[in-house]
Amino acid sequence: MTTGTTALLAALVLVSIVGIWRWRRDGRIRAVRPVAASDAGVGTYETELGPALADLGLPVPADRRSVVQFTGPYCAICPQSRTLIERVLADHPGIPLVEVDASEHLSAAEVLGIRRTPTVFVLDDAGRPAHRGSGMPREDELRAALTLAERAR
Amino acid sequence: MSADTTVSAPHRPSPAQRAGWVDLRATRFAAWLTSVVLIAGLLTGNAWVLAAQTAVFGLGAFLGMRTSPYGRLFRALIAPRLGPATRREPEPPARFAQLVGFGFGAVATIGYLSGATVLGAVAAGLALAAALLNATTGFCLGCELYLLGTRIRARTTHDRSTPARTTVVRTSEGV
Repeated sequence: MTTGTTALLAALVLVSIVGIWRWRRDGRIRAVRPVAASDAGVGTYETELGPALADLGLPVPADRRSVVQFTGPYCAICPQSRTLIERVLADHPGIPLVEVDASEHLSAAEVLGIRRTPTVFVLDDAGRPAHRGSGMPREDELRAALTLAERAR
Repeated sequence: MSADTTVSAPHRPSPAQRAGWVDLRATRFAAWLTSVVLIAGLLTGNAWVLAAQTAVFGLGAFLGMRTSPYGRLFRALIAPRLGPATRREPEPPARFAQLVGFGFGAVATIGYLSGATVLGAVAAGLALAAALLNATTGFCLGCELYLLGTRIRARTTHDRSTPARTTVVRTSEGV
């Protein structure tokens, strides 16, 4: 086997690994805080309950549930992601969608660990992140997260 | 509708902003063609195949995506059959990705020409991995690097909170 063929095969293996890893993670909506066992289907426990987004200087509601989409000037799929969220939110008339340009709120984006756009948050009734995901959101998982958000009182 | 929300026009790129955007299908097509050429280069070990691909990377990086031969080929042969673009992506990150490709392509070409075959094969293999990832999954490694770079640059040059520019795009009725 020549050096070139070896490099070719190595590249194929690398692409497969990275591709599968991304395919499994992309757009997953995960719970940010512990959820009741009966709700475990929505996602896994990820991090401590974060601060209210409004406390980070972000112009988002602090007193009601909302969906926040972080966008950026070079986000190619954000318009599509937004269309998807709007479609899902049509079934949740009490929950607004707020878009924030992450490049204009860099320190908040850093605190929240936003590395990609779009990153989507489902906020609870105190404006704290309840669920989050990066990439094109998975519609079924977003729906499940919103149903949970509405059930939590 | 509550008082703290404002409804504004959808935050979609204006036609002027879209001018700097390129057809997503063209970049995917270019990524496939790039992969094929790099595979051919690796299988034959022919430095000139790699040199040609490096030149294509260079055109896209230094003169813009529209000058890239692959983009021209797409517009001439394939776009007319598919109709107008429905999805676009911003050009600067894609152009930066071509620059990254140019760097790896240049190392690969020089490696093969000078007899440093292992170095050349590794560089070409990495370029192939990035191109193939873009072609198959739409994930653009060079673009992500570009975005990382702009974030770091922005953080170091003006770390300040700017006035809010947010749009509540959909508010509820009766909340």
